[in-house]
Amino acid sequence: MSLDQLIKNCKRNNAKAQEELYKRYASTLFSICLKYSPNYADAEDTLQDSFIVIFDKVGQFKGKGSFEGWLKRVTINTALQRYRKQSVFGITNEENIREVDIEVDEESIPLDFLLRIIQELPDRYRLVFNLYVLDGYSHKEIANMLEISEGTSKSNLARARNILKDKIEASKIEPLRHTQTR
Amino acid sequence: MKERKNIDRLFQEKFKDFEAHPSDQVWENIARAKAIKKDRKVVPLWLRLGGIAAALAILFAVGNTFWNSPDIESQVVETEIPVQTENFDSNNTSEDSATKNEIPEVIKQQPSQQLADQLANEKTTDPSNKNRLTQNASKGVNSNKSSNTQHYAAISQKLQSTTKNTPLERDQKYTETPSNSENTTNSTEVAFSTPSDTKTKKTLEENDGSLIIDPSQLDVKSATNKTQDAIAQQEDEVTESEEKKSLVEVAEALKNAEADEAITQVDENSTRDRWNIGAVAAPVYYGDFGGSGIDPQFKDNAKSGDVNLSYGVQVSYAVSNKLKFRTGVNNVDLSYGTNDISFSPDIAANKLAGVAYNSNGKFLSVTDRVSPQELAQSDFQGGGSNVSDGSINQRIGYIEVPVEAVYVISDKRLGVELVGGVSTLFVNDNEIAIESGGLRTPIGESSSLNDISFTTNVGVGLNYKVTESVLINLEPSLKYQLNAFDNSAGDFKPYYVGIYTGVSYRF
Repeated sequence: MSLDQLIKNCKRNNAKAQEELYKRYASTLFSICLKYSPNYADAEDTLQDSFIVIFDKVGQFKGKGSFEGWLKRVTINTALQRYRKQSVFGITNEENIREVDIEVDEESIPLDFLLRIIQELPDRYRLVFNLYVLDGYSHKEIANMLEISEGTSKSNLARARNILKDKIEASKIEPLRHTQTR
Repeated sequence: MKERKNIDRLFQEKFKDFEAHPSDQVWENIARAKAIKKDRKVVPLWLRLGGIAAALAILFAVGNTFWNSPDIESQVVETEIPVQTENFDSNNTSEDSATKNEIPEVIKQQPSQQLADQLANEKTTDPSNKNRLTQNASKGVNSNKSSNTQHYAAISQKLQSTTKNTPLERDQKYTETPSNSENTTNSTEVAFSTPSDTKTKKTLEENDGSLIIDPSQLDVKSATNKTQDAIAQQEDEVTESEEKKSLVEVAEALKNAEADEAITQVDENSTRDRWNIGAVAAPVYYGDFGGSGIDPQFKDNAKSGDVNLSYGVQVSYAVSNKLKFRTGVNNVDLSYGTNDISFSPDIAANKLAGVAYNSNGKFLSVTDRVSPQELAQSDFQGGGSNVSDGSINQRIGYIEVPVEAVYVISDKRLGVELVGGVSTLFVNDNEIAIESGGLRTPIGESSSLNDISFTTNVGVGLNYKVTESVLINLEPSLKYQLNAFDNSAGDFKPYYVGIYTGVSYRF
């Protein structure tokens, strides 16, 4: 089935098409959920919610831009809705906001570990870091999406970077324990 | 290999091709959530359908009371006609009659043409309207006032012309409405020339305006504030066109729903099984919630509904898995008896209110059951009993055109559906007879029966799928008649119940 046909059938609430859509995009979208959620179980819940929203709103996809992009946006929005209201942070001093460099042996850092330390970030830091670093949103867009100020977005990002850096450096001193994301 | 690296780039590179597979449980949860959501939708949708049905019922009931109240019309006409003749010179009236002739001609062309042509026609008739208006204006008539009525007449014409299904009434109405508005416009203007009248008139009109609920009414009302006239006669048109309009709205809503569906209906799989045609037949029982269709004196008499046959064809279209729209044509025969009546031959017979007598019936005096004392008296006076007891049998035949929404509760091998909607009834048989001791004597026909009337329908449909395409249907249904009779007889509130059975084919 072509993508166009698949979308069309999904708009018509065809159960088979919906399952096909899930099979095609579940892994891509689940990776987003893992990054934006605090743990594996929450990520699965977020994925589930996202697909329910997708099946419900697929009629609103008018073919502007890529379908995959639309799916990702829906998933990110679903994740944001779950976590953006959960914690409030104070304002950080501007001096904390700077580029963070780190000395690493790239090969030695497993992806699982990086994912885990992202998940361990406080909710807001995690969202801002994901949005800015991994999904390429600007601070202005993030401020809008999370209903915070641009300054807060920037300071949250800085704190997230520092926490991540500390954890990576700590892992180099202590030999890495085997990490599991589940 | 160690290198100094920006932390952002580290994460970006690592997560560039990151993918992860969720457990199968996730899809199962999604499927379950979808199923629950569907179930939850059942109630609101049905409520909505019920709401639509209730709104239609109210609309028709309101329309019905206006339709059947001759009082308003006669008052308006009686008070205004004399004024008109006093104050307007003969030139003006001849002018009016000329314009009256103009309009029906234009309109008579319309039924035979396409909708687009009709619209175009209306546009082309506009200039002639304006000419007329300026003529009026030059005779001291405010052109604003008449332009309002014209404008309104144009709207109602448009509405009527879109209801292709009721060509019967259209001609009548076309010829009536424009002439009405012409006459009464002039007369109310005269009425307003006396200031004391104006005030009372104005308040009356405002009351009238507030009685009816319709968006188009608001326009009319605001027009009233500006020009203070034209309402009294527009009111007649409004109540007529309101009925029309509500039908038009329903028809358009159905058409839109179908059109929307038609657009999305490209896929081969889902186009299957959308249509369903079938034949139905039903024993129908005619009952009533009080009143009499023949004469007020029979209101409290016992009525006995008869069981007759209704048969017809129906076609339905499935908008979705859950919702279908259905229409068709049925022949419906109904009859009932009014028991405990007496009748006697009489040269100066009392006439029953709701009967148009034939030559047989003229000399029969029909009354409520005569008490034994009275009977004895008449024996004494007349020198012999010629009073007989019996019952009045009223027989009505209709052509019924239903428009119904069908909500599918279950579409398994044994399907269950809920049905709600309205029917339009056209009278095609009408007889009143007296029955006594096995003899039946027709005395005429009902004069209070409306030629076109409406019912509200509710029913529960059951079907058994013999194959995927062939269905056997059973549908008990109640149809409550809204305006079967006008008020001249005994405020009759009839209904009929049928158990519709049939075979249908879906494709």
